Amino acid sequence: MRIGKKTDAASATGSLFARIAYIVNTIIPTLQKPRGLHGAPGSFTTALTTYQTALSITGKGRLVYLAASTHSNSTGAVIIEIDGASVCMGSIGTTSGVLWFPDNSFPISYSGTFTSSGNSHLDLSFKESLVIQLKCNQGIGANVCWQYEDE
Amino acid sequence: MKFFIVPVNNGLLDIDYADLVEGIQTTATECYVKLRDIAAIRDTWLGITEEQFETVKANMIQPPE
Repeated sequence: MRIGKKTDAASATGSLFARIAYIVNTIIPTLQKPRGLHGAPGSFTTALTTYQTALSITGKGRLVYLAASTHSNSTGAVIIEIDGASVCMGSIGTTSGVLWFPDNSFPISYSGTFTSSGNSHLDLSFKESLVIQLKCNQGIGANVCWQYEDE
Repeated sequence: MKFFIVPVNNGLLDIDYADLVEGIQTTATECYVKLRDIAAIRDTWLGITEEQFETVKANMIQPPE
């Protein structure tokens, strides 16, 4: 392999300088950028019995945690969409306030009531978009809280 | 923080969700929101006070029975 010149055009198969330029221009921008401590926490409450969009953002990032809860004697449901695909269609239970992930098979959030919400560490990365939808089956009230980090 | 009543269209709030801190949806067509200070205000929003927001929140989120 020849060394070439600094002015060589970026190329994956060219001179050494061309290959370095290729790496800098093409590969490095695709790598995960460092994330800071700053995150974006949020909360959404609805009494609607049809799915409402609690959060809808675009870009690359990570859903750090999520917690869901309902009023006593009511149930709800949450959908998490990552890059346009549904990764969770969980229910919020009546007595324990558990959000099951995914598809009612694994509990991720024990929160009981509005006044004693817990949260679960999810660490779900997204490359293009993140959407959280929420509904309350009895029309009384359901809540979801989250924190995400974006690049 | 800023406080508004914003429209809801087919379950989607008329906001930039990156600015959302807290939302309390009372009907299918409107939602009370607390937004970050950097939020760009839209003509379709109705400004409210923090006290009004907290009142709606308190009425919506009751202690468990």
